[in-house]
Order: sequence, then structure tokens, then C-alpha cells
Amino acid sequence: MVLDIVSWALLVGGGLFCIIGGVGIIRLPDFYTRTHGASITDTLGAGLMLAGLGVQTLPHFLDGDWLILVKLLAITIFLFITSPTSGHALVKAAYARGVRWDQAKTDPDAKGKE
Amino acid sequence: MFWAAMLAVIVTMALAMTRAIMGPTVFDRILALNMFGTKTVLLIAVAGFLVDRPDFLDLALIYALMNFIGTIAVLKYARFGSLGSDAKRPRGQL
Amino acid sequence: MSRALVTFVVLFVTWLLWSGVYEPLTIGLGVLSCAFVAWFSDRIDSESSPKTDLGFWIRLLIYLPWLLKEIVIANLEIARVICAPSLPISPQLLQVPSGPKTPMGQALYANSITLTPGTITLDLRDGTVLVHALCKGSSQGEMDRRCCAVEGTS
Repeated sequence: MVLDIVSWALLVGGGLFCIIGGVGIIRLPDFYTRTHGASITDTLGAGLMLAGLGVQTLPHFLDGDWLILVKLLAITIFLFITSPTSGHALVKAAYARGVRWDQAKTDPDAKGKE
Repeated sequence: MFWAAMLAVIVTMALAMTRAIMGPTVFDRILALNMFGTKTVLLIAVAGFLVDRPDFLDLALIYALMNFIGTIAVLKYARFGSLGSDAKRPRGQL
Repeated sequence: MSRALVTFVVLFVTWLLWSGVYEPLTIGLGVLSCAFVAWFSDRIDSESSPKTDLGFWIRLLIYLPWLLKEIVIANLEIARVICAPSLPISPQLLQVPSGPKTPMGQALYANSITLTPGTITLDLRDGTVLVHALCKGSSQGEMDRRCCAVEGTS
């Protein structure tokens, strides 16, 4: 019962972050900022949702559900490895191709600082 | 509650698809499609729990693999205009 | 050689977990395909692959919970920014000097930056990282220090 509540909270939280990332990818002004929106759904959105599914398996952990947990863990780890890789490949390709960012929103003083 | 999670994922997929249609650059579309693919993985996983068939998780993992490879392949094509090994130079202006 | 062995063991454990059929034929096929893939991937660039020791992986395990905590904090921050009606963003490009010097440490550092929402690595060249940040004040100093600690002195 407690596990059900925890799992429910994780699933809803994950769904909420997915939608926030989706809103971000629509609202943000240029390509580079949109990658940050996608990054939210890929990390916390997917992570929380898979964690919520993982909690579902716990009551029957000893009856063979541990394999499901292992598979969920494998999917999570895989997503967490590939998400920055493809994200970096995307922005690097866009940067090399000269996709510009929204100058109006970009802080001119900040470039090249630190 | 799985229905709620699925609904959230589907709404996100719709948002990502909107961005994929709107563009404006090809990289925006690839980004949106990559996100769409990640959401598909989640959708398959949740659907597996919804109908109580955990073997759906295997499909989800395969989809995650293919999504990654597909993104990189499409990206390489968008960047070089070719998938071959002699595509050293980026294509000129689009 | 040991790299191929590690690849083989990881692949074969994965095979056993996913297959679920334990007959001589399937296990034999599994051994064959895992050995083939291990041999094949060992031929790819085996000289220039980064060297790691056991200590690196142990320090990495200590580092990961901290990274997870940072990801959650950054997620909340960016979610707040996106949901705010005025969209208070100030995107900027930063050239950050990279503390880690070995290939493995730099890969860890760049991936940590990209994985944290709000910052994404554009390029890594000559010991500096080119970072695109969504908001001001997303500090990398702590992450830089911790990645150096994971990298070790070797």
C-alpha cells in the first residue's frame, strides 16, 4: 500500500517533468536552448517514471520480479549514457553548421567569459 | 495510475511532434524526434506494466538502442549529406 | 586482451539474463556471438583506448550519487524557469577551463555537464570546454573539482 503511493507519486512526478520538458521544447526561443528542455525529459522525466515502475516490482521481488527490475535498470542506465551522447552530437553538429542562437535573448557580455 | 503516466507521455509526444513539424532547422527536428523516441521507450515500458506483460521491457530496450543509432545516423546524414566513409567535408550551405 | 575479456563477460551475463533459455545450443551460440563481438570490438582502436584502473571505477561510484543530486537540483531549477510566464532565460556561451586532463576524466566531465539540464557541452578542445548555459550562475567549479578527484593522480 505504501509502495503503491510511492510508485504513484514517482510516476506522476515523472509525467509532470516530461510535460514540462515538452512545454520547454515548444516555448524556448532557439535550438540551443531547446536542447535543455529535451534534457529535462531525458533525465528526471524518464528516470522518475522508470523508478516508479521499478517500485511496482518490489512486492514480488523474490518471486522472480528481480529480472524485471534488472531490465528497468538496464534501460535507465542506457538512456542516461546515450542521452548526453546524442545531445552533444546534436549541438556540436549544429554549431559546426553555424546554426545561430537568438541574439535578442543572448547576453552579449557573457560570451567568452570565465 | 498507469493511464495517467501514459497520458503524460502521450501529451509530451504530441508536443515533441509539434516541434518536429514546426522546425525551423533540421537539428530542431532531429532533437524533437530523439525526444519522441525516448518517450516511446517509456510508453512501451508503461504499457507493459498496464497489460501485465513485463516482456514488453525487452522491446523498450531494443527501441532505446535503435533510437540512439537512428539519431546518430540521421544526424550524420544531416551533417555530411552522406552516410559513407569518404564524407569528410561538411556539405555547403543548405 | 583484458579489455576483450571484460567485454565478453559483460556481454555474456547480459545474454544469460535476457535469453531465459538454458540449453546447450543457445548457450553455445551465446558464447560464440559474445566472443565474436568481443574480438571484433577489441580490434577497434585498441592502442589509443584510455587506460583505467579499479580505483577509478570505485571513485566513479562515489561520484555518481552526487551527480544524481546535482541533476535533480538543476532539473527543478530549469523546470521553474520554463514554467515561469516571463521565461527568464539568459543563454550564453562559456569557455570553461577543464580540470581533468586524461581522456577518461574529460569524457566524464563533459558528459556530466551535458547530463545536467541547463548546461550542454558544445566542444572540448585544448583543455577548455565550450559550454552553452541556459541561465547565469550555473557553476561548474564543484563539478570540475570532483571530476578531478575521480580521475585521480595517475
